[in-house]
Amino acid sequence: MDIRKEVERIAAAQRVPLNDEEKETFSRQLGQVLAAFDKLDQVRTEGVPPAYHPVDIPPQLRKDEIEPSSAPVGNARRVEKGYLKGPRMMKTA
Amino acid sequence: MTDQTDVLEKVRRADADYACMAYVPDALSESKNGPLRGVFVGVKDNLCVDGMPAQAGSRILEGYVPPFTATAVSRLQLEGATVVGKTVMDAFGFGTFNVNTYKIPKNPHDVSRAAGGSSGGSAVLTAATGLPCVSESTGGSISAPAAFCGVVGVTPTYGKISRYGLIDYANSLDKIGSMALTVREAFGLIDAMAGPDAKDMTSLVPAPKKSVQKKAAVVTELLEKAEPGVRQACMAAVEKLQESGVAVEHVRLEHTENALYAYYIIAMAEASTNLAKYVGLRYGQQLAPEEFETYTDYFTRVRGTFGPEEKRRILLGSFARTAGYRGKYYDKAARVRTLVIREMKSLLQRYDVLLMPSMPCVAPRFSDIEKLSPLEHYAMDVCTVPANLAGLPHASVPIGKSDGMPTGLQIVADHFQEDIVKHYGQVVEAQRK
Repeated sequence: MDIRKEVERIAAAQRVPLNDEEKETFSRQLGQVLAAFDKLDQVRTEGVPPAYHPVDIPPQLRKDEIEPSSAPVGNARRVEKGYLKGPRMMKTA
Repeated sequence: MTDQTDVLEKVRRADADYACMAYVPDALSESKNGPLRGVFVGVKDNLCVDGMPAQAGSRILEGYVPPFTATAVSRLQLEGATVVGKTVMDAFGFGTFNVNTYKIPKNPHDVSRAAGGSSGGSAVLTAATGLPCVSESTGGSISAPAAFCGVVGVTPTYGKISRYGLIDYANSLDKIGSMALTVREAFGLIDAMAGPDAKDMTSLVPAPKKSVQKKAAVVTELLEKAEPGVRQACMAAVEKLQESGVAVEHVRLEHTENALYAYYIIAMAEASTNLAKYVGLRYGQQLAPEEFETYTDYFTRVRGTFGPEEKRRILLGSFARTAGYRGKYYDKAARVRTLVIREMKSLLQRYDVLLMPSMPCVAPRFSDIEKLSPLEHYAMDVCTVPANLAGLPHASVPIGKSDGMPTGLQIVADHFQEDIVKHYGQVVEAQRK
């Protein structure tokens, strides 16, 4: 696996800007961390279910009802007619 | 009013001396009548308090002022407690020494040393002023700073306290807890904050309580990982427990190192999805949208505000759940987590509590932390991670000093057996006096 390529690919997908020095540093550090994580390969987990929570969480559903709230735009600086104003989705021709 | 003025002055002085506060209000709000009236609390900056800025240690949330209060904090306020301000922390809780942020707290016992993280500001405020704090732990963020600063830190069972209003790090690991000078006071806050909440579907009704059997087990591997002074302080505390009539045995935990790797994979995977919501439109960093050609340009510029540790965890966490690697890393870690939970709960059928050092060392100097690689940094959590990964209640209780710095004994009990942790904590505390 080319770690530097993976770092560049994930950074682009996650919209995390990295300069050349960061790409170099993170590639080296991620290589070290992933090598440590690889030690889990030696743990036998056949037939062991995954734990996505540490305790049993009983399923709970709430009614799918719209409730009034000002929170979604309460901290936004650019709001027009109750809508957030963001940048263009794509370049204009 | 004099009380309030004195308290604010104490908080400001602690902040001036040790850089522990993210926000201190100009004046304190009037408290309600209730059993906690006259109790003043600091609140970690990843918990929302209506009208107080909440930045969670990250520049990306600069300027955010929540229009609501976290359930845990509002329950304290309903009982009469007053919030004195917000305490500094590692960005989003990403750290063991509280150095991954824009304002780094200093240890009141030696200002050349770290306070511990990620709830460093809370531990410093409690150590410097005696005021209790509402804190939060994901993998050890309460025990670590509590041990380093010589205060009591309590992390309850996962689900005991609602996470509504918490700026999340890793949803399956985050637990709101407390810090105080005494075990009784720290558990008093836990009791007041606990209970199911319709706003958090992972908040739970507690399981039935067990009685104390006076049987405890020291986790040998974790004791061996501690530096000599910390080990001696732990063994001295354990001997005193034995003198009080507790039968103590030594046990081995097969999965301590595996727990560390499983924890970091799960925590980073969850963190990388949580951090995806910071797009610079609704809160925190917001730029002028008309100055950008596309949404992607805007989003990328805003996310350039993340610090190095935030970027590192986004990269690692995203990688661990990418197609082709998810089975090897994330799914594997979730299965190892099951083994860790089973192993610890099995031991807790035989013993009231598991005992271990809260941290393997005393608070390190800032100059030494700079030399640590990320992997060495993560490895410092080896004592705190197993209980956090398993969601088990635990407390770090001060047990004396090593090299002139505080150390802590970590006491871990079965799910929802906070009363047993409290019992042992009070025994350890009483024997130190």
